Amino acid sequence: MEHSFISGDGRRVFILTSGCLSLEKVTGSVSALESGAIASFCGITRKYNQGKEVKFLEYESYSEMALSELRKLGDEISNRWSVEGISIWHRLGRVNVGEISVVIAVSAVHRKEALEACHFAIDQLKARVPIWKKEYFVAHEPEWRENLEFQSCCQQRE
Amino acid sequence: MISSVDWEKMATCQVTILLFAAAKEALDRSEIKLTIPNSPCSVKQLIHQILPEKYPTLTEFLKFSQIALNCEYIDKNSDQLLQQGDEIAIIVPVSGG
Repeated sequence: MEHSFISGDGRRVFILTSGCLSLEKVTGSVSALESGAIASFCGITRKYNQGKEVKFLEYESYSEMALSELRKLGDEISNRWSVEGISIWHRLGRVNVGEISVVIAVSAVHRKEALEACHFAIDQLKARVPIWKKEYFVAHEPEWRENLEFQSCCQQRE
Repeated sequence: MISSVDWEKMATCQVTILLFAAAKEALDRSEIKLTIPNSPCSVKQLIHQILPEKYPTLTEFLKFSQIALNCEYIDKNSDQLLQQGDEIAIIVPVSGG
């Protein structure tokens, strides 16, 4: 299962996939000769959440809209910061503890832009990109998670 | 001459409601094909009136969800009118990342 958008010039890469993610592959997709910096963020499935031992996560998405929101996010980033490449990859389906669920990489001439844009990208992704995860525990009933960022984003929208 | 069937088509509008995550599980389906009899109908009417009446289970979810019309977030109280074939997604609180 894979849904993707890759811009014509290759500088914007957004991928939703059930395959394993690799940090190196994502940072590689934004490396360019004119860039002096690549900032990256990796989200990992952690073993404990609120004291409960996690077995695995199951992700689902509204893929068409998720890609459209990621593209808009890419445009917003380019309008705010001088960046070269933006690449965001998100896992779908089952993700085991210790595996990567999301990778973001941003390249820019200087580190400040790359770091700020990468930080902004993960915060915005958590607030508005239609992707959901269900947490399966070792000894508890599964639960759908909700990002705190979603509600604050709603208040701004209303 | 317009047949009675055509009249019916003109007065109704069929839209698709997409459900995800907890809302999908609660209704045990990922989409609802909804025929709205008294078109035109606004997003606001759909969210605050039609859906809660037809699917009471959705009421709680609608309170905490955002709405997307054809892949774009839209205000739940929007007066925008629905068109034949529109896709309305109930975006329950997201949890990506």
